[in-house]
Amino acid sequence: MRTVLFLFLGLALAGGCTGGSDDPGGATGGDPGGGSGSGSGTGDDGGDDTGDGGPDPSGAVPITDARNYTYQGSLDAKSTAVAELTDITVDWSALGEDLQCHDLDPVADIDNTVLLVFPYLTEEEVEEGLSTDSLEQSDLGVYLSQEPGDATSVQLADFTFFGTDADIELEFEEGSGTWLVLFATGNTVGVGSRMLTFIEPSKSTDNTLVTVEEGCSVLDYTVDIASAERTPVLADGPWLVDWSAVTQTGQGTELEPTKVSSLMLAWYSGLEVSELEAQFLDLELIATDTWTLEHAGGTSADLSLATHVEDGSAFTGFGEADGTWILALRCRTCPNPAPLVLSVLEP
Amino acid sequence: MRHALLLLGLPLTLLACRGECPEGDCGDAQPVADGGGGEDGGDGGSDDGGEAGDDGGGDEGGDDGADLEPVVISDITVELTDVVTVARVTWSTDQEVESWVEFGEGDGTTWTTSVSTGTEHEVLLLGTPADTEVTLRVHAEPLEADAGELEGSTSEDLAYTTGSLPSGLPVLNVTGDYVPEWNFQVLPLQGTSFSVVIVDNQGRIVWYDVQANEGNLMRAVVSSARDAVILCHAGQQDSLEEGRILWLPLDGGEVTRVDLPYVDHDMVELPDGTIGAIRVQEGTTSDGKHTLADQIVEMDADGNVTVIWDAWDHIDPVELGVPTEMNWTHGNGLDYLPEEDAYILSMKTLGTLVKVDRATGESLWMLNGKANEFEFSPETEPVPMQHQFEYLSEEAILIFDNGDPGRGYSRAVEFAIDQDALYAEQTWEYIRDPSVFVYAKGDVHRFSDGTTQVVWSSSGEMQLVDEAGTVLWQANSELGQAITFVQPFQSFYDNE
Repeated sequence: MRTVLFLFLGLALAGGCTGGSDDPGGATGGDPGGGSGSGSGTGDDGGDDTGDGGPDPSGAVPITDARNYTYQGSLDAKSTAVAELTDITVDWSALGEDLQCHDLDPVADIDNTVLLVFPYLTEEEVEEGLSTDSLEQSDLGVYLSQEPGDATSVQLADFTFFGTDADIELEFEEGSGTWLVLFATGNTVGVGSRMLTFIEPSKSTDNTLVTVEEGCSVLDYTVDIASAERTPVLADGPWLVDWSAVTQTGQGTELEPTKVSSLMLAWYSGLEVSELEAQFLDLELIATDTWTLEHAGGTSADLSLATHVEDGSAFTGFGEADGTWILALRCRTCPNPAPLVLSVLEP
Repeated sequence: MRHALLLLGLPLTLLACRGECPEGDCGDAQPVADGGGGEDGGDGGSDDGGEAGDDGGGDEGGDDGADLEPVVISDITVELTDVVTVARVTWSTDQEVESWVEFGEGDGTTWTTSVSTGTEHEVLLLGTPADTEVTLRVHAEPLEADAGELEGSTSEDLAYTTGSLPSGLPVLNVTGDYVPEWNFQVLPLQGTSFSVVIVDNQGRIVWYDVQANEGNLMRAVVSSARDAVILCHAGQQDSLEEGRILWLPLDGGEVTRVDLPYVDHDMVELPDGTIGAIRVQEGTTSDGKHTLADQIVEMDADGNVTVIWDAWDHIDPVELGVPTEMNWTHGNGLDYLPEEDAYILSMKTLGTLVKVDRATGESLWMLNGKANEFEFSPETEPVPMQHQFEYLSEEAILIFDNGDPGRGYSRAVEFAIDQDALYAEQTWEYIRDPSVFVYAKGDVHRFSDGTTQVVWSSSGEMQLVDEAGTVLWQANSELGQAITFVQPFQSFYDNE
């Protein structure tokens, strides 16, 4: 098990990431002695990792809670005091790295800004709720958005409720709750956030400008892939993955079947599980090969229908032995981009 | 794509299929081995009445059933439609009869479809959640003219399983043990998911349609013919010309689209299928400013539009001192009162409800806000801004009062109204604890058991409360999901 700096809401395909070697935030020291320390994708540390025997000859690939990874995250976002009841400006023109420490173009990568007001929660409670995906819409007093186009700043008055003016600057008052601004790639509300910052209405300041610059070090997380049982699979198929027995996501929340929007099968040549944990933020970037499969619904999928992200070729089988295979179930509509389910496959 | 065809070649008398499928033709739909329609007829002879004379006709035919010829039900097929919670059932009868399907979870007695008349029959089974085994049976009764010759029949019990919901649909978290009076509710959802769903009173999705992430999904209703969901898809405030009305067939079939440019916020379906709607119209104020206000319009099936009422003809915003930089009415709620053939339109900027005679287009009265004509009792708290409302009777109206940022909270409020004396008095209110200020949308409904549903739209929450304000039932959406205007209803097969 490793503790590393976590990214919140990531689109890991953003590219330009430095990978795990930099260990941004220096948080990798957590629990190095855990089971993941020597984790290997191919069973050399396998004792307690593997499941109950080899692959099902029928090709069934049952994923279970015991075969799912776990993680916990925590946020520590910047908070800026600004003048209350004022149409303040939030400027992200200097934002060069997102929460994953991936490079970010403040013009090209920020398609949507979202203003959230939590009238009865503190900043710490909001951070906790976001980290654990436990917030409900009713925790919000305000949920507004704005598409900046080529701009790199937004004013409170620009935010609307799906196009309907909200005059929210009239409510920007000290003691009115916790105000949070999200910066997202894509325009699906609540999804794809690259950065976040608190703005604090105050009677005691004349400041009307919030600058957003630093994406790294906002989020910590602990991930444990290695302690989970491996999922045996046939090398040459068939592979009918079935996650109907999974009751909890890696975060420990109830797994809703409709949340699974795609599968990602990835091969990491020469990398052990412990190395994947250390570079968890970059799992999509460091994969040797990746196949994906859009998921229409239900709790099963045929991996032979997955296609390579680069050349579109169908997945034909598990080849190399020196490295690690993982299968991740992903959610396109979840605020947190961490996979709902992630399991190490053992051909 | 059509989903699994569940073919059941089941003449009623072909009981050999019980528990097994001839040559596998039953697909996923199976006769229920121990269902309520068992051949022993535990609940009456109607279950297997097809065995003429075997059980003497049972309840259907009376004591002289041996003289009656039983209707033969055959070729029952069940297939899931493109909406995988909805199944299409077809069957044949050897006589022209009235026939229908009884179905549901468990013993399959929850719902009864509309009656099909003839020899070839087809109905949709609606109202069941995903991934659920549904039991069904077909009933057939002779036409009145044949009652002396034919005996009614009921098929054996069959079962099928609904499909899995598509990825991306939202989840509602329901709390409370109270069983609401309504059975279903249409919810337009905006946010992470742009969709229209119908949920049952446990919050389970029984029907769905995912829309493109654009415009405003303000209002959706089940058509009075119970064959479609009608969706008012307004453009954004800066692109209202993209407004349209969509008819989404309940089986997921081809959508009918009729453009209604500048439709905004709300619409109603009249009993004859005419659509009444709010439409934004340009005009010039008495001080020469070119700006916008609302009309009530009606649109027929061919898209022909008739103006019923026009704010420009009835209200002078300059005289009232109303800001006219933007839409100076901002219509945000519309109801039709069939008993009175009248409309009520809510106008946000004015803070006023206007009642309109549909036949003459006359403004009958204006309640609250800048155009108010009513006298209020001294204890009545004013409504600074409102959205949806419900005309409870000639003497009462229920309003979702958003409030304003200064007051800082929203509420549901009921007024007793004297429409002749133009006098109004607040008689009830409900404020959420802790309070919430709903800055956009909001909806209210009163049910015959005295409960009131309040939709805190932008907070993604629906509460059912009693007169004392006790929360009896509550549904919450996930973070990122707002609920706009909702429609509770009782049945997919009865629009009463």
